[in-house]
Amino acid sequence: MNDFDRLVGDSLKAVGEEFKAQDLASAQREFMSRRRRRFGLQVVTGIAVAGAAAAALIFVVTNQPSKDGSLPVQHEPAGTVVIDVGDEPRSVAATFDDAVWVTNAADGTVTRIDPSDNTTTSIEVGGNPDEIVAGLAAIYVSDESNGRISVIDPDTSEVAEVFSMPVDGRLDLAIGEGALFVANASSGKVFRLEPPDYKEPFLFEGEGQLFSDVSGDDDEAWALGPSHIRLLDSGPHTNDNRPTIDLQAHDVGPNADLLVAGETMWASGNGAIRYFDLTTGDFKDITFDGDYADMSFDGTSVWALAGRGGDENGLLYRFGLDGDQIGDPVAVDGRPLDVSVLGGYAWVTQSDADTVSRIPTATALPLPSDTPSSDPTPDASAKAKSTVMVFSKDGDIYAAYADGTIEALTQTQQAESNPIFVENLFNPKYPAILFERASGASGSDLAYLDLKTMEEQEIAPGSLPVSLGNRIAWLEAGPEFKLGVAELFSEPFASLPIMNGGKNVEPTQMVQGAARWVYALSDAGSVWTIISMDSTGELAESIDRADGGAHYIALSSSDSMDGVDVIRACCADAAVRGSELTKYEVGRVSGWAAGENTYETLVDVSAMPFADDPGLFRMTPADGLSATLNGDGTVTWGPTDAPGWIVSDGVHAYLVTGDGDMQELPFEVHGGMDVNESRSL
Amino acid sequence: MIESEAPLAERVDVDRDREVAALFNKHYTPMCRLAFVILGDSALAEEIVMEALLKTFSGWRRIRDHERAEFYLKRAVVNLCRSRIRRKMVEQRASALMDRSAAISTWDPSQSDTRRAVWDAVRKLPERQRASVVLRYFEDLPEAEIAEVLDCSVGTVKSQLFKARQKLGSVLGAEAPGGDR
Repeated sequence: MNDFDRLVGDSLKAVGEEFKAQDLASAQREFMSRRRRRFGLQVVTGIAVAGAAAAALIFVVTNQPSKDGSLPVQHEPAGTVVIDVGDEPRSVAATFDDAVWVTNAADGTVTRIDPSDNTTTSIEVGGNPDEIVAGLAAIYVSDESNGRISVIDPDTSEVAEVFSMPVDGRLDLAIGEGALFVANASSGKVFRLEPPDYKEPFLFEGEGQLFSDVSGDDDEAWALGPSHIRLLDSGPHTNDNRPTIDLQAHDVGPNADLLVAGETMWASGNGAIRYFDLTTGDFKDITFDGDYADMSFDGTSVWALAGRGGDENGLLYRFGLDGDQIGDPVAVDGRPLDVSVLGGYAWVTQSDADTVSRIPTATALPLPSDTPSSDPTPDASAKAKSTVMVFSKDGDIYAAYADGTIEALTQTQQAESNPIFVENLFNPKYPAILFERASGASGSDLAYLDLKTMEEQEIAPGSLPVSLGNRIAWLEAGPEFKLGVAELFSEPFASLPIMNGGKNVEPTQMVQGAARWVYALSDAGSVWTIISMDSTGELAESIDRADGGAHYIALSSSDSMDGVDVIRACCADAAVRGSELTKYEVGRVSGWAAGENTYETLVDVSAMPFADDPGLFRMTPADGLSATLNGDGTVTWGPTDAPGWIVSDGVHAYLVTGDGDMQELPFEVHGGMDVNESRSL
Repeated sequence: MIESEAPLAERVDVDRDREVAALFNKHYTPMCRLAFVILGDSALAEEIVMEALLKTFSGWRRIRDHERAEFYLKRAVVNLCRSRIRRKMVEQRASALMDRSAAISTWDPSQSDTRRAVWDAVRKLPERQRASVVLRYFEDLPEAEIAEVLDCSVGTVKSQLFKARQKLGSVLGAEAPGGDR
């Protein structure tokens, strides 16, 4: 230690010695009193056994409403991380490309944050960077005053192009329908530009159309005026006869924000958020505490950020797509300005502090990897990466590795089943599987198995887990059939009845579908589509066993919008109900969106001796998976361009190609299985 | 004999209260000193440590390694201190009528010794540099543990300490070592 270090160390230690706390006994009394007030009633709900001997008591802590009737506010969540960015950060855009982008208005830069380790990279764009949006394989940054837009290549983090709009003042940016839309509130104009040249902006103009903001999604783009919302361009470029929503008494005034979220519109203005449901035509005014700052849509919820003056924190509200608030608002330090929510985190700019806060949007579960006592070994990490497939057999979960070996991940011989891989794009350090495990005499619960540490973390009682993007869902335990919903690696936040015309539906298998869908198989051999997530568990469409007594006996998870693959069993004589099931085929049920529910036969698999608990996994060319059987009975996994399936007849597993070729795999699969899409082969 | 749930629950509550009280007695004063060195306000330090203890114990069932309680508590204290510093910065920037006499960084050379000068200079550092310096020189934590507490990389800690040393050196008129940035 040198003189300088010694000087600083000795000085600070001397200062620490100066500290005089209040009487420790009275401080302890005050603390215990606060603790009881804060957490209210504590109820013992159960005993969890860890390992073979140790038992730990689990507490459910119930927050009580404040006695003074003040707004219940969640505290800044644990796990919030504050990241230094440039000077006067303004807008933030989180993307699924593993990056978060922030404009810094006072130093002419854009900061790229790597969410895996929160490191930052500064990109010089000049001027005063203001709005930022990500899409169309680019990052678009507007200047706050001169009409300039910079295009950043997200792969190189370099400015690829700069062009100017023929207007002055602030620009609002949005991606919609495969184009960049630019709104200029000072002129009331909205432009549409198409990459890669951006040379011929199409101007939307017309009488009374003074637009302040624009918002869009894959299908369309909408612009907001003081008293109307207008569909911009879902067909030929034209200014004539565009569909327009009259906000009537819900006008928003100038300089308002617009957010399109699914089939709903959200417009800020006049101290409220105007909510409009395109499917029902209903308006709703949503009020909140504080001054409106920004909105963000994470695919399932709308988040609204509000600032408050003085010593008070900002607030982050969450709403379902029905416009109802979900939970209490979360306190956000400082004066938040802009928010982007994605992948289980809210990214909030704080212009005064030159920081961006990364706030977990759900209460995180403590995965074993979080705890320093269970440091993963390099071997465990490598093994997690090389896991090709997980499956259930004889009441345990097994993994098949890239080197062809098989290993039991659990060794209970109870009822462990239905394993699926889950990965949080923003938390790549958690390779884990979600599975159903035995709990008590006849129940089951959902748990994560951390593939680095091989330790388990309970989520909730239930079964049939599915994973949708950054969310998971499952069938809750209990007499009523409800869908439990949680952010990945977080506490459950919703419990939705699965209803069909007021009648509960009992799923026997559930798999993830595209976007917000869950596919469910009922015990009557029917396939249902459940709109899940925040606000509804209602069935969207169903296909019944009305076609000659066919049964659907297994489903495959699917990320595509073109339907769900199934194993369909039918009869020797399709015209005779109740005849023996002898014909088995892999097929596809599609047409949900159009309400058609068509079935298409893909491959005949009748040669397999189907038993109980058949399983199906669809491999797309993107999965690129095939297997080669070696002479010693092991299997070598490798890439392929051919689509196909892994089909289990309840005992054996087969690779089935689109041509109908079958290859038996050297292991048994009894029920659920999943393939690791982020594996390293 | 099968025990009813109520007596078990009561016994668990009593045991838990004892455990919490013991941890409070062990950590309260050291954590208050840490917060005091960072913030320079004893009342605020105690308030923050109370809050940190409440936060830590609220998540107690999620902490598997209770031997690491001190680490989790330290991280909560430092994060709350940093949050308070950021809020103070916002208030100071926002207030055109800021009372300069109330600024926490005031140093009167005629009434202070060298140690006081060092502390005042530390409290003028940006919040992350300040936290890094206090954890390094007051808590004697190695850089890897500082990174763990601040939830950042070791490289960031090195960078923060390097910048802090340069600033402290210029303020104190002492030559700061180059550090291992």
